[in-house]
Parts: sequence; C-alpha cells; structure tokens
Amino acid sequence: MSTILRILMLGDLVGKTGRDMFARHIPALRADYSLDAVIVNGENCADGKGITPHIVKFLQDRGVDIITSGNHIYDKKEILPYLDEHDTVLRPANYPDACPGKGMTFFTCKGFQVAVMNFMGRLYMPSHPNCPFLKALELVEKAQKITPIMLVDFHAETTAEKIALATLLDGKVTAVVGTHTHVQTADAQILPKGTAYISDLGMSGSLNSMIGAKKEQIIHRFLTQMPVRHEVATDAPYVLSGVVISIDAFSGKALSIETVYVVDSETL
Amino acid sequence: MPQVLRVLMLGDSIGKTGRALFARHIQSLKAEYKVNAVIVNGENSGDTGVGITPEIVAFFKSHGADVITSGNHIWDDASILPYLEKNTDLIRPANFPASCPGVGMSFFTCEGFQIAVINLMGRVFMQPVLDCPFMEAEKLCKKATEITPLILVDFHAEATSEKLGLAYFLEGKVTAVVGTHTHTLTNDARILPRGTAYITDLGMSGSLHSTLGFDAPSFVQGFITAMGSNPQVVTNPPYIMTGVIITIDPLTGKAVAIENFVKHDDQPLEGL
Repeated sequence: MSTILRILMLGDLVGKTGRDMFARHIPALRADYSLDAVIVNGENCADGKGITPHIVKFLQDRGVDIITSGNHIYDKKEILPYLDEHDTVLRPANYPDACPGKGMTFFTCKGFQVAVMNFMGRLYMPSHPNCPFLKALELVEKAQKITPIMLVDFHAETTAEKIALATLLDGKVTAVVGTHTHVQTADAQILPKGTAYISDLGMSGSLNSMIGAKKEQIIHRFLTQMPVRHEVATDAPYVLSGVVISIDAFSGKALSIETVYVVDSETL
Repeated sequence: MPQVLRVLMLGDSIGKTGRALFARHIQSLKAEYKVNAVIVNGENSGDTGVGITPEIVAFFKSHGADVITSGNHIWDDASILPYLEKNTDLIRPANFPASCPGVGMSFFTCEGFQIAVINLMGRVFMQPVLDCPFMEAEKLCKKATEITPLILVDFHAEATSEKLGLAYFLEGKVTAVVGTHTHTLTNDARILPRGTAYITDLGMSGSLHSTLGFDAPSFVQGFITAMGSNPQVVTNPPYIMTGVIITIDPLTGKAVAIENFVKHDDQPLEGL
C-alpha cells in the first residue's frame, strides 16, 4: 500500500461548459498527476446555479469522489432529498442543522479514510450561516477520531477570512482550499505547521467570461444597477483550475500543493 | 527610443515591512526584468498598515517609484491631505467625490513617452460606496487618450466580477487593468483579446505568514469573537513581494505581455 495520496481538488465547475471541460480533461489529468482521488466544487454545475442528482451521476461516472458546494447548493430543488439520502455531495457544515444534507463526509482512498469538510464564509456572502471557525474546530475533533487526512473547502469571498480559517486549522488538517471567487490565486503553499493552503482554486468555464457567465449582461448590470439574468458563457478559450495535493497517508500531512491551470482553445 | 516599455506594478505595500522590502529589492527587480517604470499601491504603507504620509511618498520616489496608487485607506493618515492637493505623483480613486483632495489620474514621462495612470475603487463589498467606477473610467480614458495611448488602471476592489467587468469594459481602450485590495496575487494574468493586459489582483509586499500582512492570530480571534481586533503589521520573515511586469508597445499603447512574479525573501529585515 502506497503511503502517498495524490488528490485533485477543482474549483467551481460553471454550467455545462465546466462539466464538459471536466469530462474532456479528467482522463489526462488523472494520468499526468497519478491521481488517487478527485474532489470538485459543484455548486454552479447546473445552469450556473445549483446541482441536480443527474449531474452528480455525470461527475461520479467520470471518477469524482466527493462534491463540495456553497451558497448555491439549494438553488435546484431536486437536490434536496438527494442531500439527505447520500453523503457524496456536501453542503456548508455551518448552515443551520435543519438544512438538508451535511457538511462532512468520509471516503476511502487506497485503503485510507479521507474526511472532506465544507464551510461557508460570512463576510460579503449572500446568506449568514453560523460561525465557520467554531464549526470547523468541532468537525475536526470528530474527524480526528477516524482519520488524520482532512480536506477543507472553505467557500468564502474575502482573502482575510480564508487565511484566518487556514491559520486556525494549520497543523490540524491536511488542506484548506478556498472557493467562490472563481479566480485562481497564486498563493498555493504549505503553511508553517504543515497544512496545504490556497486562497482560491478558481473555476472551470469560459476563460474570458464574467467568472463563467456571459459578460455583456453583467457589465450592463454594473452600468445600470438593474437586475439581469446570468447565462453561462460557452465560448472558447476555456480554463480548468485547481490544485493537486500530495499527502502522507499515515500522518495526514500535506507534502506538496501545486496549482493546475489548464487553458484550452478547442471549442466544446 | 526603446521598442518596448516594461512597467512594474506592485500590489499593496504593507507598513514598514512592505517599505523595507521595496527598498531592498526594487533595484534588482528593475535590473532583472529590465523595467522602465515602477508603480506601487501605497495605501497600506503607513507604519500602522493603513494610510500613507508625504515622507513615505518621498521614500518610494527616492527608491524609484514613478507613481503611487491607493484605495479606500488613502485618507487614514491626515498628513497626506495637503500633499494630495499639491502633487500628482500620489493618486486617489478617481470616483471619490470631486470635492475630495487629490486627483485620480496622473501622467508621467517614461523614456520620452507619456504614461497615464488611473486609480479607481470598486463598489461591490467596499466602503464607502462611491460613484460609478465604470462611468468615471470612461470619462478619464477619453481625456487620457487625447494625450497618450499608454494608460494603466489600478482598480482597487474586492469582487472578482467587478474587476473583470471593468477590464472587459475598458478592453482595447487602455493598456492594462490591474486589481488591488485583496493582498493575494491571482494566477490569471493575461492579455485580453483586444490587447489590454489584465490581472485580478497584484497581491502585496509583506510578511508571508500573515493575514494580508497583519498578524494572523488576532484576525482569527476577531472572527471567532466578533469583538473586532486590532491586528499589527507583521515584521517577521519569510516575506513576499508580488506584482506584474507589463510589456508595452509604446507607439500603440497595446500590452504585448504580462507576467506575474513572486519574490520570496527569508532574510530578516533590520530595524523594523
């Protein structure tokens, strides 16, 4: 049994564009990076908002182990019963207990248990869940009894809140990765006490778009302050972005974190 | 005259740490990247990590900065107000009310070419909420275009969507749109299809293991207790200095290339 796990974590897949980019590139990524597991943020996977059981199956058929989310998790109603019946799609753990689904799950990777947790920030976010910091400490304590391998997707807007959660969890979890801004940051690093960190994984979608959506409508909104409907951008070039984290499976320590940023000009 | 101009743009320089890093590395960065001009965001360069003083402006200039940009923290040290009235080498967001001291656009000469620098501030997740940065940008670009095709924009904003929005709005009209404010360098530096260089955020100059240049544990306590905190500028190594180098065709004003850089430094800074 190998002692190193290599896990790909991808930022928000935006609409069909993001799903198709994922389907096109995952076989090569799996081979190139010798991946043992794949985790994607799927909250924008439907038409840019939400996710459906059908899409969950599409991603799982292509090798996704766990799907994380954020503020858009409840946008498609058909996912609600699914969240209660399955534990492969997470919702932010710091949502109220009454919400469907849960915020932590475990899966087996090369014989090792891996915990995945999902939290949402409170600064400049459209809803106001409970404290992600205290919830994270609570779940880490639970997960520690089962495995030292813990991956955290923190869906949040500000770099300050993301870095603060990573600081709190440094040395306690394997990795803290941010999602939500759809723009990959250039700060992937191993923190002083051994936790892998990046402020944002970025997205998979149309590159020269408005974080995956058609830009014209959103520029119009900025100019007029009038509400607009977002549509997923479908034009090339595309980007697929995330990180590959190498993990010592026995200690749960991150050995390295490297960014993945694939630009693809071939029309989907 | 040179065939291309290379401009270094640096993100927020944090307190004494950021200033000392600038002094230590700027000459070698200029040589390494064959830089013709340097623009730095100075709104966090005061000793406490917010604001800027006339002495600090003089410090940056004596070490080779051409223009200093800013953002929401520009007013935090009141000693800068009269300076802003009399000088144009430090600019404030142009979409602050016209009655505020200072200007939001400035020109400087680089290898015989005029370069316009424009500073704007976002409205999404930002305080105070200013007039429309898009309309202000359009107005200033029209003015600048009468003088030079070389136009650089520092958009101090939080949301990636607003930064991308302004970049697409100005695409083909300006040389570059760079974001500041999040203190975290992004990995998306690119030339947009119509020739404008873009990056969502330039990042910062400061202590690496910090929250945006400030002490991380006090940020954590601030979030957990919701009682606020008073984080201090971190002075410990390791440090980072981040930004971009933009290569420009000076005759057309088009960006030819943009590359981001991260300068790592483990050597303690003395006297902080």
